[in-house]
Amino acid sequence: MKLEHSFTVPADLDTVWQAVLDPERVAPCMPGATLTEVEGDTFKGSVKVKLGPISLLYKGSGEFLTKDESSRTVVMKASGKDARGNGTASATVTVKLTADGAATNGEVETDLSITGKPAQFGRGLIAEVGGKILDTFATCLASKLAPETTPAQAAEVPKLSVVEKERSEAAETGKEAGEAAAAHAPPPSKPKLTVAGEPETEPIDLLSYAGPSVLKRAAPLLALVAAVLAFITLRRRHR
Amino acid sequence: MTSTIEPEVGKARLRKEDARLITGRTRWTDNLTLPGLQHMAVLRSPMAHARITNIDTSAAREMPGVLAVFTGADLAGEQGSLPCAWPITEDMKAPDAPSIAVDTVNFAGEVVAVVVARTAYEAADALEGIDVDYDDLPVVLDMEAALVEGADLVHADLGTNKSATWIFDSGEAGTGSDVEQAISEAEVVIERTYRQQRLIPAFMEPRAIMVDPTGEQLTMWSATQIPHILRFLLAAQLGVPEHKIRVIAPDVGGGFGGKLQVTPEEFLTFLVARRLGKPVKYTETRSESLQSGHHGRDQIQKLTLSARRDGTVTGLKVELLADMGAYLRLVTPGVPILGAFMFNAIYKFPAYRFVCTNVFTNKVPTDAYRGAGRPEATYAIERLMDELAVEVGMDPMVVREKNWIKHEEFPFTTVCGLTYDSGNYEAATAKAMDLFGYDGLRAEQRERRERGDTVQLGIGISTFTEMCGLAPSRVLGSLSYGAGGWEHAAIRMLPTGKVEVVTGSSAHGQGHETAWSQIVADQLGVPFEDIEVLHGDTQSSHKGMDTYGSRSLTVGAMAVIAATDKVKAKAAKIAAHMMEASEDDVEFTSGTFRVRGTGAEAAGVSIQDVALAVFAAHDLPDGVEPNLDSEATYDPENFSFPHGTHLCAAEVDTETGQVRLRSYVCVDDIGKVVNPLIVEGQVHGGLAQGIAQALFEEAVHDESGTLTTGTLADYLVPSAADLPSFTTDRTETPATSNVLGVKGVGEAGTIASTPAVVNAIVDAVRHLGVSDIQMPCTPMRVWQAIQTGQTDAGGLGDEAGGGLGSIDPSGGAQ
Repeated sequence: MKLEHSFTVPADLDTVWQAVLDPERVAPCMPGATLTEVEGDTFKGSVKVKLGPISLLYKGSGEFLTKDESSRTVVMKASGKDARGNGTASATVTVKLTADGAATNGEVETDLSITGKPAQFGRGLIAEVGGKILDTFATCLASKLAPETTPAQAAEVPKLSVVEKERSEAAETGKEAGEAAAAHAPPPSKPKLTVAGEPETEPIDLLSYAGPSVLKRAAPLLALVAAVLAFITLRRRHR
Repeated sequence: MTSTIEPEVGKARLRKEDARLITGRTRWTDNLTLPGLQHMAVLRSPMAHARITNIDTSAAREMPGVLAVFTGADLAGEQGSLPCAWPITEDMKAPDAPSIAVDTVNFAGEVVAVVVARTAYEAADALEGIDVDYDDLPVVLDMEAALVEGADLVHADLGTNKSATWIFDSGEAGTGSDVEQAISEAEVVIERTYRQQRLIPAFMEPRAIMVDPTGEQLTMWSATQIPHILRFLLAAQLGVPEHKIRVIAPDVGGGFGGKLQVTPEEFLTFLVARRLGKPVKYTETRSESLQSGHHGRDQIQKLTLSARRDGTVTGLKVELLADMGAYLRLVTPGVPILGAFMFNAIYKFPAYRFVCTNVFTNKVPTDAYRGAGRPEATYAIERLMDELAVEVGMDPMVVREKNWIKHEEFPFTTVCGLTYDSGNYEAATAKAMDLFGYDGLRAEQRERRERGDTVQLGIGISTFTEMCGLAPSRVLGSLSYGAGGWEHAAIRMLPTGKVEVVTGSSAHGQGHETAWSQIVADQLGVPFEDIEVLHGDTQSSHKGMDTYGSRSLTVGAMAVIAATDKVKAKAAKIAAHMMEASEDDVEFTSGTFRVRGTGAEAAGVSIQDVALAVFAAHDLPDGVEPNLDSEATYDPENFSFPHGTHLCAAEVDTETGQVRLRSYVCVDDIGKVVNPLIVEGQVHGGLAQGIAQALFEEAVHDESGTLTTGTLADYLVPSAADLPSFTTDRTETPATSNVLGVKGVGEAGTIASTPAVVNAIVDAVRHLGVSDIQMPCTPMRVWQAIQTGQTDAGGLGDEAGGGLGSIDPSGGAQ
């Protein structure tokens, strides 16, 4: 399955280029990802994924296939399999950076192939989830790259973006509550923790990331849950 | 003997087996247990095509309760190959079919390791401790792509993805003329490509197996349709002496062909139990059932029909691609061939050619599913007759009537060389049209079209026939099938006058016990309640060809009747002796032997009296052995050809694509009826499964070969709430090929209903430029067809009926 996304980071081309070439700087910004070993152009690591009731721990390795300084294009190939045999995943990711004034744009092309339970249950989510994961990634990268900001401010950057995210979703509190309930997921602020680069890597929760794409399927099932949750929330507020 | 004055056959008896089935008193295979029973769990490949580079089971072996872990390497020496009983051609390519993958997996869901533990939970948990390394191989999913020169191969060693090509040509066979000539001279030529989507036989009871290796005989309990065939093939494929194997099929919760199989799990449970010397049980989960039990249908049909302007058909050419999946299971290659003789259906085609190419893909193997080959054929021809009607501007029923075999023309030998013994299509059709209110609905359809109503009405017709009652052994031989088509039965007369009926037919929900009891009650004149039917255990019912292809009544019950005739012949001798009369003067009516001419009130000897006398054996005629028990094996002379007219009225919301079945009328002619209640049940269930193919069900794989419709939330099996109330009726044209005049009914509803529904949907929106909609006709596809006039709206299975995981692979994100 081919996916295309883009991101923008408020830092100059060279800084970003250097960053994307450095797994140790990139990995912590990948939700759910942990880097265990880097050796030249190859790296080993794991990604924790939560898909409703299914928890996966993809262990695998990756390598930089090409790093084309001139066209600022880097091609990565990563593949791994779930420690519990629930499936495999492999991806070839092409990132092309272009300068945009002080900022840098990144065009990301992903050729993804997954098997097993995630493919069976999660397929429909991946296109949307992918984009949102990348947003988180970019926000995080931004926080690391924005040069003269103090650590405190750095922390602010992603926090703000998440707050906005919450506001947009807050439009439909009921749904959001339902969504969280159905996904047995941590509230949408969870990714924020990841973004903030906590030592303990939180699993990336596909359902909480997916938002509308899941609701589209689950809405009928969730309506009741949502209503109940909304009701409870209201009563809490009244106390 | 009041119960035998009114004949039992024809009575709407409640099924005697239902009390134990409904109250949960019966024991399904998974309910059974044995001292020291161990439980097996199965690790399945998530990859559709990959080389296994390493399997590390050490962690699993350490887990609590685990007794043993086996991989393909551990069992390679003794697992043999799963059987394919139907090599359709001399040069058919058949890969070795291991029950557990040794170095390569060829479909997602193939077994790669098994764990045996004290409890089912410990076994399941231990699966997570097995670490398998795979090297991807290219995945082959699309049949047409698979046949292209230089395509990736499922089985590299075969050098091709083509298993076999099977051809029937009426010109060459001398049963008709040359189809190419007919097409070249035709005034009208209709060319269509239809697709039979892949279906899953979603039987209610998952497959379960228990094996006890501790006795003199290895005993296998299995939720199977075919205990006798299974026993034979365990012996033949695993090199175990046949007399050392006993197979028991207890009450089985449905099969629909899905349990007409010798499964990898049956072989593995057998091998593992034998290796450990301990009883082992395996019961699949619903997900495993959907993912790894054999699938059905999955054909691409290229069709060419030639006709004259007046609507008379002159020729039919059928070119099939049939998806075998990754391996050839028990009758995989033969399923499309069963359809070869049915494309001409009830119509008088002078010329016919059928070419079927069987193709390997990296998917679960296909095999028999209710109708097996005949629903595909019936769908194609019944859709084509509607297309022809449009082309020549006639009413679709008139076109059919113009071409079908008239009732006075029976017996009729078709362009395929089959002889239809009896039928009356006019009668069934007249009755159906009347019940349906055909003309009224046509008027409403016109009115809605003129009014431009957003909800349009369509009328679908299916005037079907099928060949069932598999099968005359000589015919199976000519099709190079690996076995005969006979059936066996025995009657045991007990001293108290009660009767045990032993049958080789292996019931799995059909109600054989009731029907057989009704038949034997009439034959022997004993009360219905005094009869016990024994089946499904190779110990008690030692001989049989089991249950599939609507064969039980037309073949199995004939063996039962033949056995009762032998009992009566033996009893007559002894009764004559008891009455001191000559055997020639003795007649048998309603269970009593009397001297001819003495009248019904005269004293006689009941068959129960004879049974007791034989038990005592104090005074039997010279040279007569003290035994009334008899057995018989019956080989049918011909298939049975039930037929019927099915009419469907469908409302299509042109704004949403939603289809609503407004009314469904079917008039089936299945000859004489033994039990109307059982027939009604078979028809209703059959309709449900046929309609499900038209509207709901489809097995969908993503591009890496993962089944995305792997739950019942994604694979849409309809419930009563999704279906209309059926109007069912019958006409009765007795079969001439058996003494009861009966025809099969098990598959009729499924075979007939699919085209009726799709014809109705297309008819409703044809004026909007739609000539076809791919099944299942989901709202999305119907809507697309209406909007775009695209005939393959929805594409070739990139989208299932809906459900949580399977709406749109891209998640709607473009």
